[in-house]
Amino acid sequence: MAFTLLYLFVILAAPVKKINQINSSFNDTITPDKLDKAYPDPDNPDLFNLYKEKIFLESRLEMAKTGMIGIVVNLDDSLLNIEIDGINLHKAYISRYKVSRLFSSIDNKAYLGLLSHPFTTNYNWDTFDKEPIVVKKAPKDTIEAAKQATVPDSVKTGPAYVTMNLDYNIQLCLYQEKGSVWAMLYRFFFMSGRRFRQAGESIRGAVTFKIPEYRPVIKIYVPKDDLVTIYRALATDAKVVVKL
Amino acid sequence: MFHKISEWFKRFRTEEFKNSSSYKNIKAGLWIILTIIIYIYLIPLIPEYTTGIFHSGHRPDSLEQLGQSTEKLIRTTENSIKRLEKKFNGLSSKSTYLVVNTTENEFYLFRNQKVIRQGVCSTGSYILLESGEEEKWIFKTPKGQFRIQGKITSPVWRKPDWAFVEEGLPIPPQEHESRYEHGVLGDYALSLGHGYLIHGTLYQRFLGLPVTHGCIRLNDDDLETVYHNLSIGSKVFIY
Repeated sequence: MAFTLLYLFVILAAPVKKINQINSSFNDTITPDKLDKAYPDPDNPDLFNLYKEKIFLESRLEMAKTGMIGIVVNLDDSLLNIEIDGINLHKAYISRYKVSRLFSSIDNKAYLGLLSHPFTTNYNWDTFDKEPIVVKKAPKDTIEAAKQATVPDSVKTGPAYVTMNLDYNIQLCLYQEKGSVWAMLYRFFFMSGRRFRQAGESIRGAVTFKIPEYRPVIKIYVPKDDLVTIYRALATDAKVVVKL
Repeated sequence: MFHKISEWFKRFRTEEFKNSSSYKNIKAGLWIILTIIIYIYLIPLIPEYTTGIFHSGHRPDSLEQLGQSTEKLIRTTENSIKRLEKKFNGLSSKSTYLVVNTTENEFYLFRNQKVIRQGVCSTGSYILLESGEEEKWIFKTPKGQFRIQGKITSPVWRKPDWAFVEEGLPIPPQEHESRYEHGVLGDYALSLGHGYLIHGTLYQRFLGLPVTHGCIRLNDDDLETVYHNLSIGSKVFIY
């Protein structure tokens, strides 16, 4: 019972710690001066909405400078795009999404600071190959080569679920929107993997009296074909621009 | 059927069964499952609903009285958004460019930000050809931004080593006549650099499938349109 209470405590304390961490990183360091200058009076609702628009454009411009394919998550317009050099390459419509409450709990200034630059992906979990490589041994002669010749198949995949770990340990989850019972079961196991990892950290935290790392989530549902196309287009360290 | 089920339940309720090891195992198993559900699935859900309860004061939802300085700030911000939008839209090329989707094996030819032609193509097969321990070739189409480096009519394919290895043939000397094949690349080819080409194909039935060694294959009509619309230096975006 005592352990359960301790476990509950660390789980509840984790997001609070994260909120304070994000707030302080944009309030206590050198950046606030710049933030105050760039976004004065962020608590004014009219200004805040304009600033949101401004940082979205600034982030996309910054991403365009990298010359790499990046991803744009625009929850305001329910759109998921990939862009390179400011040119839209592929667009997918987000059917539904869920965002951790953390994003609406941080300070306005911290919110603007957090989203004013593109995030960088540092780790991915997926249920399909990013590069569907098929290994083929070189045939010894023309007879073996003829035997190896097959009618090519299109690169289709099974259930498509992806989690991208971004800066500040924000997790961008891209899930296929519809699917069979098998696909739903697959999603349950895929999500369970994340839950088990997080629970493991929390249990360790409860045992060692240390508040674990909280990972805020942006969960997006898009059509499967779009998801596969978008994910395969990205480099492993792709930039991500988010508008919440 | 119902009779059988009630018999089972009766068996479970007997003292004899309650003292058996199977009963204890089932009970322990259920406890483990319940613990996992509580610890892994239920308790971690709580912060999803409680986070931020004590962090009020964020996102003001009531409009404040606008002071003169705020109005000025709003105007300044609106102007800077307009400038940024102009700058961002300026990035979108008004000239002609090609976009290739390697997952769906489709292409889109743009002019003035409008699609003027679209269709199917063939891109890299993702086959990793291994010859012994040392030599390996991967047949994938590179992704990113490219520029047309050269334009060729009636191209001749100079077969690289892997083309012979793949067919189980011995590799001929570099300038051997068996390396040159006429007519297999169609009427035109556009070079993207590093040996990658946009060209035609004899295998039209495979268009729309990932079958190439890294080049982009188009059908004859599409290739002609692309060839005549893109010039040297035109951008090609592959994703």
